[in-house]
Amino acid sequence: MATEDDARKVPVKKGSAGTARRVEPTRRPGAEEKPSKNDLDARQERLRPTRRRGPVLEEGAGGLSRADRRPAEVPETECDE
Amino acid sequence: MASSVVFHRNVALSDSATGGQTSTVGEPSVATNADQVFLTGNWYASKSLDNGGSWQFVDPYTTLPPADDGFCCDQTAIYVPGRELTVWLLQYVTKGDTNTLRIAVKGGPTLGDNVWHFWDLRPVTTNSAWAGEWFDYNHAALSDNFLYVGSNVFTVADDRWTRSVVFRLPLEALAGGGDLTYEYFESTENFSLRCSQGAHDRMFIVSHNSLSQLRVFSWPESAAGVTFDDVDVSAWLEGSYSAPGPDGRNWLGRCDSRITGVWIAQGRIGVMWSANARPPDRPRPFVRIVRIDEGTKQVVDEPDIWNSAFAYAYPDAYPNEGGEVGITVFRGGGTRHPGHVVGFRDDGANLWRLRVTRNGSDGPTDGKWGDYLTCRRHSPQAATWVAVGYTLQGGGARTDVEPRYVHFGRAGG
Repeated sequence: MATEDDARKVPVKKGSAGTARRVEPTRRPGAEEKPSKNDLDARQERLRPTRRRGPVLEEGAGGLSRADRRPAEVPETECDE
Repeated sequence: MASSVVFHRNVALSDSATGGQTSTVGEPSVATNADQVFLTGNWYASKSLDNGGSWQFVDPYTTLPPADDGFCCDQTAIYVPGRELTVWLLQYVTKGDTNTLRIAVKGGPTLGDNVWHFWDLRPVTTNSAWAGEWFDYNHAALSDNFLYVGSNVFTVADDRWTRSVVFRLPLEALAGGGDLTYEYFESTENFSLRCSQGAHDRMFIVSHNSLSQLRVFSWPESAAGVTFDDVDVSAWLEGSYSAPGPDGRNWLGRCDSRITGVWIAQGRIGVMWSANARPPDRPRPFVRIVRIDEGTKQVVDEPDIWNSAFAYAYPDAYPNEGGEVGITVFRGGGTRHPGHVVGFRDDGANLWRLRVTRNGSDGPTDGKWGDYLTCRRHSPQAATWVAVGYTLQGGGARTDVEPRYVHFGRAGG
């Protein structure tokens, strides 16, 4: 059984987002304009073919061998139409 | 033969429901409070007051006051049962050297109006050392007393990943609409920290350490500190994903291995992500799943979702009140255009029970798809689930996207 003492600790910090602002149901001056179809087409065009990613994962040490997998084999997953 | 998955609702959203503001990178999310449903996606929101019978467009560009260079994307919705809160996360376009992650909240069955209260989080106001950084790819999860919001953080100058962060915000303060103080932790080693759905008094948060190891963070409600354990899993592959459909369009060009679904139920932490093909055992990209014993942090099993004829990708999951796990996922490739699927884990049969909500008629013309789906527990019918997805109908452009709201359960359940 892993315990709290076995696990390694990560520091936690505190912050504040201030006081909430309330939105009324009427349109407010300065609200952003609704985008046009062309705006959205351009936005779709700007979407990258790959996403922003983190570090490349390494194979690394450890890992379970196939023999360690429980159950050893997983059946193909069917899908009802 | 009748399916084990029962649809209580399976409805499409029209262009009027989304304002036509759809994208093939659809990123749908949902919060359900009985008949009131709030559904978000790129770049729209929509609400239903009659359990999905009709929908009314809610414009994320104009409903809330502007921030930064305007609304961007990556919305998340989640309903908080017991507190009767609907939470709406919105991400804004970077302006100057930062951007905003907005947390908007409304109480009770009040979707009929547009009254929200909200707080704005920015990297630089969270921590002055995070100046010049911006939030991207957000998600939300709940424990008994807190809302958790996870996000990745990149530099504005060159989009270099710097850290991933999880915020812990008191539900009582969110309901009250006053001052909001919060806690957070960051990792500069582990990318895309993912919080568990179904938590009560302890949040589990998971990320990859390597292609054969997970890091499981634990954050008890009663403690200020976070701890972690490393868990070995069977080796898997990432790289460039590919699953072209009958039109030759690869809808997995943006897919990567970040963890997209975590849950805690029945003493097990479940973790799922899109893994790349690994012939001969897994000839197509598939959903890698690991279940870990909550106490020992040892792997219990690895019941992947895979098929030799097509890919599965972008999974999300949520346990129902009995601890059964409902999921939502895309499938496609080979003879199939991208389609949307929901289902649940049938541990008695050692199977995932899946059912297509809608097959697509096309793949995306520009090859862009994703980046996430959403599954939630239905409220108040807590033995069932809701999910949102989308397909392309009648063409491969963003305007051909058809979002979908699904309320489902297990037959006889």
